[in-house]
Amino acid sequence: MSWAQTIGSSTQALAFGSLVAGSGGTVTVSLTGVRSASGGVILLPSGSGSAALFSVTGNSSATYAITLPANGVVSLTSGANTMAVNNFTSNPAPTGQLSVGGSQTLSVGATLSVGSNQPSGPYSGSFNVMVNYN
Amino acid sequence: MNTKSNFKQCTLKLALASAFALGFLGFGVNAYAAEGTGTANATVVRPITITASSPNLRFGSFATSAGGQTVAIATDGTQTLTGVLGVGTAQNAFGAASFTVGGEGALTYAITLPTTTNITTGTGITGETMAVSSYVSNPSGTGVLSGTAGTAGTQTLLVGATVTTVASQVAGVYTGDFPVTVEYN
Repeated sequence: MSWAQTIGSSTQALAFGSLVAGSGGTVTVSLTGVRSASGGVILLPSGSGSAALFSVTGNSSATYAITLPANGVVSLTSGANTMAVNNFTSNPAPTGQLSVGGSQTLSVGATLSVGSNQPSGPYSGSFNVMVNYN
Repeated sequence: MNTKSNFKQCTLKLALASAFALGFLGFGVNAYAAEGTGTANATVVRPITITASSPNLRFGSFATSAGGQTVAIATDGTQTLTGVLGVGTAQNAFGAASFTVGGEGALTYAITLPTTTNITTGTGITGETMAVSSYVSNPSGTGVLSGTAGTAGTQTLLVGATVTTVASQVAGVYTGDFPVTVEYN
């Protein structure tokens, strides 16, 4: 019997895909990786998005609490330019339960804030997800 | 002496037991929580633009004697007359429209041409109108902007079409507009 619980680095990135900023707005990636835009943001069909995926492992059938980043913490950067990432969501939430085999896949989505005429470029960043046995 | 010795031994055992318990508890707490790091990314691309054509689509000068006669302009600017009578080269300036598409390098885009538009003269009544149809473009359907991702790209978009006469076509200079739409794939 193991006491340790682990969550590795994301096995799939949280990807907001390719977009035109226009007058600005938001891009939300759902827990199934479906993108939706608000405001003046235009999504490029060719630049699709994805939800982040993590592999959580630990004791058989154990339940655990999931802590996602708070608002105002995470941002994507491209040189001197930034975009905020807020309203993180997860599945399961807020509590997960590992399988009998002691594992579960955790998917994470969020909302990207895009400025009016946000400078073009590749933006990247990172965020932390914490899991804790109940 | 015996009593003292036993007391010391008991104290030592208790201390060892305590240290072991604390150590075990500490190990247990640390193993309860784990933190994973996720990567996130997005790509902001330049807006796609298309400028008004320069030069315009020009069918040239011709004489018509019946309805259903046509003048076709190909994307390479060549003129094909069917039924109509062309005039001398000096007065017959014809050619394809040329647009400049701009945006993010290396991206592809969809091109939407009109189905049918009109060019008119005078008040545009019957006889003062000709239909423009069979629009063609080069590139056709999908274009690709020059350059690489992260840089500005452009492409020249050439457009031709076919104009069709009606019976009793009024002589005059015919003009009209036609829309061309480009959209990132």
